[in-house]
Amino acid sequence: MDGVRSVAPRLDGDRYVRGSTRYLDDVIPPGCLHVAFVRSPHAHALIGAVDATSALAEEGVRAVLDGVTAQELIGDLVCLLPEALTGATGPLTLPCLPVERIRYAGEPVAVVVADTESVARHAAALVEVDYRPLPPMMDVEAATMPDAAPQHPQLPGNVLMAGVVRDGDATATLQRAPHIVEGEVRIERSSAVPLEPRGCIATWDAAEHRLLVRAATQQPHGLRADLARQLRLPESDVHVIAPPLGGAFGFKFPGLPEEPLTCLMALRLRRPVRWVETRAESLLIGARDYHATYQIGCDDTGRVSAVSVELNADVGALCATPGPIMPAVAGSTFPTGYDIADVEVRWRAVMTNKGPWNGARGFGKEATCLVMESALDDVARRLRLDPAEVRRRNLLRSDQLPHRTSTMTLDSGDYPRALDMALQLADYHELRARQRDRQSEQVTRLGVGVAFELTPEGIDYAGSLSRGFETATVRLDTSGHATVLTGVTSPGTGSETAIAQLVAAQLGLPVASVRVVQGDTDRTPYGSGSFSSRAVMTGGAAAWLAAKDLRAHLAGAAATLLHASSDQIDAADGFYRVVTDPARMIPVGPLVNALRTLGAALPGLGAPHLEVTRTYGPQNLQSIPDESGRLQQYPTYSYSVHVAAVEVDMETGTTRVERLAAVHDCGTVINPALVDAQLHGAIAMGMGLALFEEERYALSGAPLSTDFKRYLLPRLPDLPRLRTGQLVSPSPFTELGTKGAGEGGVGGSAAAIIGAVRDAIGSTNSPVHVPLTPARVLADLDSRLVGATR
Amino acid sequence: MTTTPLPATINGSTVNLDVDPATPLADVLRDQCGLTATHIGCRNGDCGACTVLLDHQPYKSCLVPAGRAAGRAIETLDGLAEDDTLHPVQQQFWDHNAFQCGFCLAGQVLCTLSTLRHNPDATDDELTDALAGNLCRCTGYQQITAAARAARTHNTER
Amino acid sequence: MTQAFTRTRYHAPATLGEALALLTDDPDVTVIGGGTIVMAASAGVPRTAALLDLHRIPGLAEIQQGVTTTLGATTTYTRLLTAPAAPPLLRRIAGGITGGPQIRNQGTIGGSACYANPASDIPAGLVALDATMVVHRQERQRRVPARDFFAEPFRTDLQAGELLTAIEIPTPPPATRWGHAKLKHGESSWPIAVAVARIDRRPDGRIASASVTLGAAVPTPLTIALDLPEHLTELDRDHRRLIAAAVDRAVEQWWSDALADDVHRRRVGPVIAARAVAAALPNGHRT
Repeated sequence: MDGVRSVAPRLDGDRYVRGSTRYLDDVIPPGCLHVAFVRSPHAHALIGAVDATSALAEEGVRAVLDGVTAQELIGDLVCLLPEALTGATGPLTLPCLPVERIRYAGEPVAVVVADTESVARHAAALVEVDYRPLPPMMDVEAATMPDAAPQHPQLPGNVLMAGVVRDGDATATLQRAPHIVEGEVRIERSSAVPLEPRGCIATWDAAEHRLLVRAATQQPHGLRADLARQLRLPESDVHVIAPPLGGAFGFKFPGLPEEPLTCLMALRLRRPVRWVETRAESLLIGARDYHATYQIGCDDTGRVSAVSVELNADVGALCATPGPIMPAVAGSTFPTGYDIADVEVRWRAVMTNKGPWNGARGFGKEATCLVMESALDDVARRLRLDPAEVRRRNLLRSDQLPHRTSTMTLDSGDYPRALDMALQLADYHELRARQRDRQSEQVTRLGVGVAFELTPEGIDYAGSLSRGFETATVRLDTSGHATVLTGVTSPGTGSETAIAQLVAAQLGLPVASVRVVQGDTDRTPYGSGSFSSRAVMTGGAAAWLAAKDLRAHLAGAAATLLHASSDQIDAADGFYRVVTDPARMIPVGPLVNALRTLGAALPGLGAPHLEVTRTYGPQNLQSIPDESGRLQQYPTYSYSVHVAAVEVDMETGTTRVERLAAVHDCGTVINPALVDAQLHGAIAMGMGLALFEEERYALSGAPLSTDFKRYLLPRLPDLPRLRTGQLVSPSPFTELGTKGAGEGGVGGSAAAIIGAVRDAIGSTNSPVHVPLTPARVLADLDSRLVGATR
Repeated sequence: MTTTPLPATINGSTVNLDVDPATPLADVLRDQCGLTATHIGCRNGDCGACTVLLDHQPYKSCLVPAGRAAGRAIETLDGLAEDDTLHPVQQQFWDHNAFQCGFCLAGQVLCTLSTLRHNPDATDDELTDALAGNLCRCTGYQQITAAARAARTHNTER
Repeated sequence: MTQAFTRTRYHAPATLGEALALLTDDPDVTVIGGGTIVMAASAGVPRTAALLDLHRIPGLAEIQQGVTTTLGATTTYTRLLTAPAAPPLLRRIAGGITGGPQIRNQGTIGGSACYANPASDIPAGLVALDATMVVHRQERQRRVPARDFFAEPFRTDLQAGELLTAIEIPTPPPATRWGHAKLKHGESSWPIAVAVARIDRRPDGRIASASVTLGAAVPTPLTIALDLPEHLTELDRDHRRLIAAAVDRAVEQWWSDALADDVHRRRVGPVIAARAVAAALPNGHRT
């Protein structure tokens, strides 16, 4: 892989910086109509009549559809959650528009189509809905009360899923442990929040009898399957295009009603129809909302023997995105990279009257990280040990790998070395020395935090459309270009650049000669799209293998034409040459032409085989539990270690992040610049999670965080210069040795920052409350002062 | 609908558009002029994806009523490059891998450009301040900062 | 259910007289200096049926320096940063406005004042400066002290048909010193607490009077007189505590909003006030 690794510039970078990249809302068909949704102001209500008379009377309004009508016209959304976890018999379905009950404030109740978006929104405000408000259930406690109103007929107790992850016997081991520390972590609701909101533009082509859908989606094939089923069209008559996205981070999985309903209206009205959500609408969606209590047991040296966790997730209103599965992932990722044999995690995902979940970077693993790192910090405090030392004493060593748990196989890596590298990168000892020398009367306190994040990647979620396999086609043409058709998409990461690098290296082409086509169900092979850091690991590997086959064909043809043997042929820079006599060479373009025109006709020249399709999936996947009940749904395990230094103003509770360092290992790296950039973004997202981001609700159930003045994101002045480093331990299981980059870093950086703040203020055993807003920092300080005076 | 004529210069070309003057300038540029590099991320003046230059100064065009732009020189990201040649600031952003999804580029590039036009020796802090109004969810701002700083020494201004 | 508008009317009068006539004739009209507040629409619908844009009216964006500095109501934050005649305190406040240079180019001092958002910077600054708000209506004008102008959260003393046209800032005596402190929750946040301290000294250097004007933490700006030792040159921890206690006593009600409730503002407001006072002293504060 060394020959492939390079900081190749972003493919299509020219278009991006010129601003000529066309995102979803940049291409609007002529004569397009516009959708706005009537959305419930109540978090919980029964629905009576929907009266669209006034709305329909407005000039420019073309149609209004409510739930009663819609249920005849469009199939339900279907939640692909494992029955073993839901306990329901049969799949859980949801109508696109509710008929009986509103389950969250902002839930679409009716769809309005008009000549302009402005008229559509105006008309939506005129639709009269007879709501009969019910008491909203805005947390897990309320939703699981014995008399709580059921949010789904198949799940009367409002527990969507529950499970237990168990290794060894945590209860027994805890009883024997010399020290037990109990702790609590509350992670308030937050979301992935890409800068580009969701949207969909659908056009019915009556002549071809096909539906063309452009959608800001991470999974064009998944969306196609859903639309075909819901609209009762053959899948091959639905064409989905995912244009370049303005970010996704899990926010753009299919499974919400707006896209199918927009398509329905295009079918009904025989006109193109557009829907793009507002920022306020985008902030209705959540992706994290956890409450964990735990016990961690250790000996006098800080060696942890057991951890027991109870994890409750408030997943809001049920929907069909993969979002609600994240608590299961969170549960399965314990105890991350630590050598703890006895683990028990009891987790639940509960439905409430908050907005539904879509995915978010971390996919539950960031919650696991926050809980584990809080627990280890507790151990450090109890035994008055350096938190970095506690990590060192408990992290699995390389000679202990592979390490198998009931849900994971940690196959390779050097966690202690990554820890040492991160500490060095952060100048950890200098930070601690500075902390010791700090005058205690100073208004700000310096705090340092350390965190390890395990990031299982490449999920093969059997039973769903999010699989660990990918297919790629590579084809050549006489201009000397290769075209890659891939089922992965890019939410903006630039993964297509790495895929181009791989194919270019195999075929001996300059990277600029490789085109990558993605996000088009008519042109590309079937694929699962973008999530779980899989684009290069899975999509790139499929393309690599296809290119490898093609190279063999080309080399054979070149050998014939150059009167050499295949093993004498080398390919580089667009030429196939005889190694021992480089003057004998043929450029790729003419080579391809020779195969096309003379293939199988000229003696020694093979058939004109100029296109190869390969499907790839890592070999170590296991979706059926083995005799010990163990699974392996993630083929690879990336990881990172984070160090944070903060200054906390003890009088105001505000935190200034002074230093952030991270070392990550995602196996083989194809393009270091792209991988590093992913880590930067993840760290910034972790800062947001740790200090700023929260989707808040009024007691009435109305969402309060309706714009970026209220849902706070980190800005440039908030970030210090990030210090990042890399460790490479190739995966033995993936074709390229890659482990997946992109997702990792959110939980680790959040945990390091939180640990640093708590270090600064001298937290003892107070609950960790994320985000650590200034008010929460002061409350923590106050609780210790109260305790101290007793 | 009452429209008013809007004489202006857009990316160096004189135009006389017919606009609804209360419409946000961002929508006029996107819908009427086909200049889609100016993106809509929030309609609240928070994210900066809609940034344009009016008479060399950056504004969030989702907040500017189109009528306000009469007689002004409007520059958008998509008008910056001259045919085959990128503007030096654009080139720095590409060379430094200073974008990922690219949605925020209008604000990042135009604020960098505008600052360096008026203050070619802008300090690191001044550049940070210049970019503080632009949200990015992808990059953590690291490479954006590197590109903006590099643009100081590669600045052949036009 | 609020009335949504399909289309917003737009007026950009060329003279003050036209503007005042429009104010009277079109009751739906919302006046904009910059537009950064009124044009914001995260829910995708316009907030007003009619805009009255002042940007064409000559003189409204100018700064005139004299015994009193007169700032036109549509003076932008950027102009406050760049104009030599801008009062230094307002220059400092303008530099800290959230939203980047784009917002500073567009937002105006008059627009901010008339919005009277408690969680903003300008109102406290104007009250601290003893500003006078010049209000025009058809036929006459009147002057209102800034401290009376900010009547309630999001409501000023402006009556129907009235327009804020200028803000007059008296030039303080040369020995007056100012201190400014502001608290936000990260760069994206609006102000949680803003404080402007003012210390006037006698010719011999002794403190003649001291006050701190609190904003953002309280519903309307509040000026609190302080009893400081005459020869004070820096604040130690005890001084800061005394000042904070004095501020706490003086405030009847603390402001609460989506980013910080009244309990938190009560906690941090006095701290910020004390820091503003320290900034007005020659040696600042020591720990």
